[in-house]
Amino acid sequence: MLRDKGHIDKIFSDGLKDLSVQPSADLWGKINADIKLGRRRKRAAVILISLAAAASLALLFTLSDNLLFQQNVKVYQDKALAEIKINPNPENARIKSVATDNEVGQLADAVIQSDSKSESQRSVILPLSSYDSCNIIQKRERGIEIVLPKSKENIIGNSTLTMKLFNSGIKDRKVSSSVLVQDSLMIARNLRMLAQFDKAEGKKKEWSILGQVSSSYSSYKGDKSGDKSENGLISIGGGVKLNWQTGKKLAIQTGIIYNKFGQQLANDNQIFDGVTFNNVFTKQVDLDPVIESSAGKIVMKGRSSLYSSNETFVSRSSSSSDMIQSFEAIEIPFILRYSLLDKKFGLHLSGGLSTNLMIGNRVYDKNTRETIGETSGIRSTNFSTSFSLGMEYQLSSKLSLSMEPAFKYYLNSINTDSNFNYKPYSIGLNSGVRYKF
Amino acid sequence: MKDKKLERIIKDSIKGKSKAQESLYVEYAPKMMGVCLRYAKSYDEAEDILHDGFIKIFHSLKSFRFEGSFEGWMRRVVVNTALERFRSKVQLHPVEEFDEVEEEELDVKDASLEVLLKLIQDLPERYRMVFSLYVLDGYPHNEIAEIMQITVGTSKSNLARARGILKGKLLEYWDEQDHKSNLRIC
Repeated sequence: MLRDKGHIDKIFSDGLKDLSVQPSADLWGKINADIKLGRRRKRAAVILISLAAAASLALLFTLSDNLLFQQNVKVYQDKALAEIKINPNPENARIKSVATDNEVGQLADAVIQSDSKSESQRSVILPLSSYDSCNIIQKRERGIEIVLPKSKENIIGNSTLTMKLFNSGIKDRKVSSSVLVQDSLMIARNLRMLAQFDKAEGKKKEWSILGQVSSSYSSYKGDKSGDKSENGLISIGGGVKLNWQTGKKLAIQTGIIYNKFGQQLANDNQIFDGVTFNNVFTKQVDLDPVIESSAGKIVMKGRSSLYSSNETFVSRSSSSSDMIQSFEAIEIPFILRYSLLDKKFGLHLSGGLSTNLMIGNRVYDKNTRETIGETSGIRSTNFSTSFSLGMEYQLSSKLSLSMEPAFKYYLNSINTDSNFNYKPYSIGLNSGVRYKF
Repeated sequence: MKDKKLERIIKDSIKGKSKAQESLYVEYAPKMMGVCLRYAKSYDEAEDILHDGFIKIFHSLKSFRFEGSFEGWMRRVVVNTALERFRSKVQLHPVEEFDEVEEEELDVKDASLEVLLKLIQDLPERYRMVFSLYVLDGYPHNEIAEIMQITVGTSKSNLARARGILKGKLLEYWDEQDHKSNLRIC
């Protein structure tokens, strides 16, 4: 007999509390498959979200571009109409006397229509009797088509307009001269506004791409520990940078840049120059000597030579000449750019950090350019900092020429061997072209 | 499993390594299946709970802070999985309030685990939940009330009902066993 109140509980808890039952053998397979499926779904969701975000951004850019453009065209239409309505000068008076009421009414009803053939084009149409009786000015770089009433006479009253129309290839057609004057005023105003729009839009551009070619002199800061005397190296590099204007003054840049650096090793210390042997038998000797430079140990490759009795050993590589110890890297920079001056001539200060992925490491003969070895222990990823003062000259609202004296310094020794503390730096001039989207 | 080894397996499982996840499963699945069987009405349902429970365990493993018993943490996840399943069935029950009944003394005889498990599994679901939570997993009434979205009074009355049913069925079973053994003697 159980005296405690929870006896029924005890029977079950004693029996079932630590119950252990083997589940069916295939259950783990199902669980594992579902976990993997979940991961795949998660990955798919991430990809989908990324794609959606990219598509949304693209759509946003497209829409914002279109909306901005449309807004400006509307302003331009309104102003043009205001001009017609508010400014009843003698020219306009003459229009009224010559042009029919219908024609003036049609002028006042100027409308903006989207070109059905292309979404990127917009047409400003002053409707007359039919399209085929109209003159057409195309401002190709903006994708705008201005359709004008047909004209019989050359436009000579407004020299600026005449030039614009001439440049645009306007043709003389039959139209009343009074309508032409009215049109000329409107077109002149519209073209001025387009030019203003171009300028205003230029300031709003946020993304741009820079193509750069750089010429630089590289040397190093670190312990001098080489066998040979070492001098800096002049080399050429280049790449592409993407510039994101985050504010009026500040921009972020990243990209991909190829660059080359290294040093010249002067042969003032003959280690394995030609040596005369007088052996009585023929044998092969593998030399593979090691030279020390400040950047690390240079391992000479394939320097085995065949020599025989009474023969003078001739090294396969002409080690007697100077050598170039060169490194190539792909740089991925993260740069902050601050605009000191942002007019037609621009001045910018830039500074940032870069990841440098080493893609080349060789030592070659300066004269023959034949590869004779490589530096051992070179780190595959290195970090550097850079500073530059950029100057830009704006060729158009989209295109600028740039020139940028720059200083770059490696933050870590590029050799993994702690005996070598080789931190290269380079002073160079980057020049290139910037294109705003 | 030793603490350091277990910690490494848990960390590898968090990283998504299948081997580590499988070793956790092999180690703990039988015990967790035991928990599931007490909350399910059948073996199949228990396996479903175990399946969902382990998916949830691997999903939320990174929230385990290596404080306290890992088995206890797993058990809690599995019990929660069973309760979620119970809640998802959207059961509406009248609020039952009973005065606590004094338990009668009981002549305890042998009963196999299978029998005890069967008796629990045959209980109405809400009684089974409350009984398992309170008696077998040590949840207090206020916590049971919260997780089952019932009142403390209902929790207590469900427990009393469960006890009554189990006691009746257990006595019935023992009588049956006595009767069978008497027949064999005769």
